[in-house]
Formats: sequence, C-alpha cells, structure tokens
Amino acid sequence: MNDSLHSAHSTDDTQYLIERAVQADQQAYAALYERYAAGLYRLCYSLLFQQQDAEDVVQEAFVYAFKNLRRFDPSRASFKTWLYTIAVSRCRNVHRRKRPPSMDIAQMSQLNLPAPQSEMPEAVLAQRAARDAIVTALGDLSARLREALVLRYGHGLSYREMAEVLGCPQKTAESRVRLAHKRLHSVLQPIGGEGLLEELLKIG
Amino acid sequence: MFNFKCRYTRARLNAFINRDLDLAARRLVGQHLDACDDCQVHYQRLRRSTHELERRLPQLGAPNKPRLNLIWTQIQQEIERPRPQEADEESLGWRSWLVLGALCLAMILPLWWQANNTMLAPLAQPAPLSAKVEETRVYLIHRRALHSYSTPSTPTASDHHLVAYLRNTPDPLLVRR
Repeated sequence: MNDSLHSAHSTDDTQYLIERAVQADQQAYAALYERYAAGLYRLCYSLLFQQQDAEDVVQEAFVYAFKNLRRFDPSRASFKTWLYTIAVSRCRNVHRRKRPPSMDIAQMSQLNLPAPQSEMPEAVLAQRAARDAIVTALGDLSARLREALVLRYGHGLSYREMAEVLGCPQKTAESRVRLAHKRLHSVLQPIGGEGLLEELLKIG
Repeated sequence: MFNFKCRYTRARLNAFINRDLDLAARRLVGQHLDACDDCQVHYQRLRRSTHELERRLPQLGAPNKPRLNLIWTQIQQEIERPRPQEADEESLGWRSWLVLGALCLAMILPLWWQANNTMLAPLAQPAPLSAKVEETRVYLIHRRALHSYSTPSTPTASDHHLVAYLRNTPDPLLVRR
C-alpha cells in the first residue's frame, strides 16, 4: 500500500482519498478502511456486544459506503459521521432482528483493560466485578441511550456530530446522554453502584 | 432544598462538565454549585462517572488486527464484484414500478368499466332550460289557469260523482242507470 496515503490524516486528506476512491483507486479504499475500520468496529461492538454481528456490520457499512461514495456530500457531514450513520443504522436493524439483544459477558472481558495497579487478589476481583457491572449496566440501557453514551464518551463526538449520526436534533442528543447517565446510576445503585464506581476510580 | 436553581443546574451538569455551556449559563451553574451542597455532591458523582466512561468506553471492543484484515479481504471482494447493489436497486425499482402500475390500473379500471357499461354510468342531469323556453312555459301555464277561471265550465261526470260523495247522497249517474 502507498505510505503517503496512509500517513494522511486531516479532513482534506480524507477528501483527497475519497476523490481517489471514486476513481476506483484500490489504495485509496485501503487507506480509508485502515483509517476508520478500528473505530467503526469499536462502535459496532459497543452497540451490539457480539463480535460476529459487529464484524458483519463493519463489512456491510464499508461496502455500502465505498459503493456510494459519489453520494457522499462533504458539505453536509464528515466522512466519519457519514460512516457512523450507516453503521448505526445497520446496528439498529440487527437489534430489530435479534430483540432482545443478547450480551456476551465472556466476550466483553476482552476489553484490553489496563492491568490493575493493586496486586491484592481481593482488589483485583473487586475491580473486575466493578468493570463487569458497568459494562452490564451499559448493556441494560436501551439501544438509543447506549448509542448516545457510546458516541459521546467512546468516540468523543460533539453533540452536533451525534445529532447527525443519530438523526435527531442536537437537544435530543444532549438529553439522551443525560438520561443515559441517570439510568446508568439507577442500574448500578442496587448492585452497590456508588461503591463500584469508587472502585473503578481507584483502578486508574 | 431542591428548588428551581437546582433543577436548572442539574439539567446542565453534563454540558457544564463537557464545557459545552455558554459563559453566562456556566457562571450560573458554577455559582449554584458553590452554594448548594446537594448539587455539589451530584456534580462530583456525575463528573467521576463521566470521566470513568470517557476512559472505559474507548477500550470497549478493541479490534483484533487479523480479524480486521479478514474483513478487508471480504470488502475488497464485494467492491470488485460488478456492482451487485445496482442489481438490488434495479430489483427494488422493478418492484416499485410494479406497485405503481398496479395503482394506476386500480384507478383506470373503474373509469374504463364505467365508460363501457352504461348500466353503471351515472344518470345524466337534464339540460337546463333556456330562459326563453322557461318564460314561454310559465306564460302558457298562467294563461291556461286564467282561462279556466274566466269561462264557466259545465260539470263533468267526475264532478257529479265528487259532489254526491261529499253530500253523502246517491251518485246521480248511478241513479240514472
């Protein structure tokens, strides 16, 4: 692959890659994929909690995006938010087909979390329980609230970008994040949420 | 005590933490947080959990490089295929045309049926009389009426029958027979 294509990271470079890809440049396709695939996979996995489903959605989203690159309008959205919009829409379809969403806690433990600072086995167990609890709580959120939380904190999107991806007004995106926080606390509370959060804070 | 200021502050705590508030709103929220212990506790908790989510969520579902490469291989195969999506679009188009055709047929068929079947054709309204014709008709009616009043008429058979009935007397015609 062409290194110059992969080293490009700004919006202008993305636009350049898109123009090249529209002319069926395989290297440009590869560069775009390399740039956005990891983030898109994380997004899909955080929404679906299933590795296979997440991979399928990533593939579908990229194939759709690459085949419809001519329709992409950079004045309306960035390529990233456009790609995320496609993926979120596909994830919603998967949710509809597979309701209720099945959560695989075993797979969730592949978080690649940093090793705990404390070496005490009790502390390690408590921290793991805390992690599992917060992830389980995330899984218990409704799909809309999880989308908001994941886009906001998992991918650092602004509320305006979130609104583009979720297809809702910016105020709605903001209120979904607020509501998600509230729900997260109410889910964590019965299982000792405050204590768990404190435990989580000690990890870092 | 939870009051209006608490409600205002809590609705904006997320934006306050993420520095999305304008200066005036930020000042109001900050002043209230300094004054209200309950909201301060709420703020601290929300700030911790926000930071926690900001730290944990990006780590959720870290991708596996070989799996991503495998997905890329499949994507390459898909995009090199001679645009199967166009076929999908065509089939979708074909379906839409079919539905449109059915709708058109549903609208045209009753009209065609009506045109070819006189029994189902709506009754034609009588054409309105022209003013002149109407005037003549009214004139004739009036003249006939005036004529009947002005000329004494000889009683007819039906008149005798009616008079007899009203007076409860035998019908002169029947008596005559």
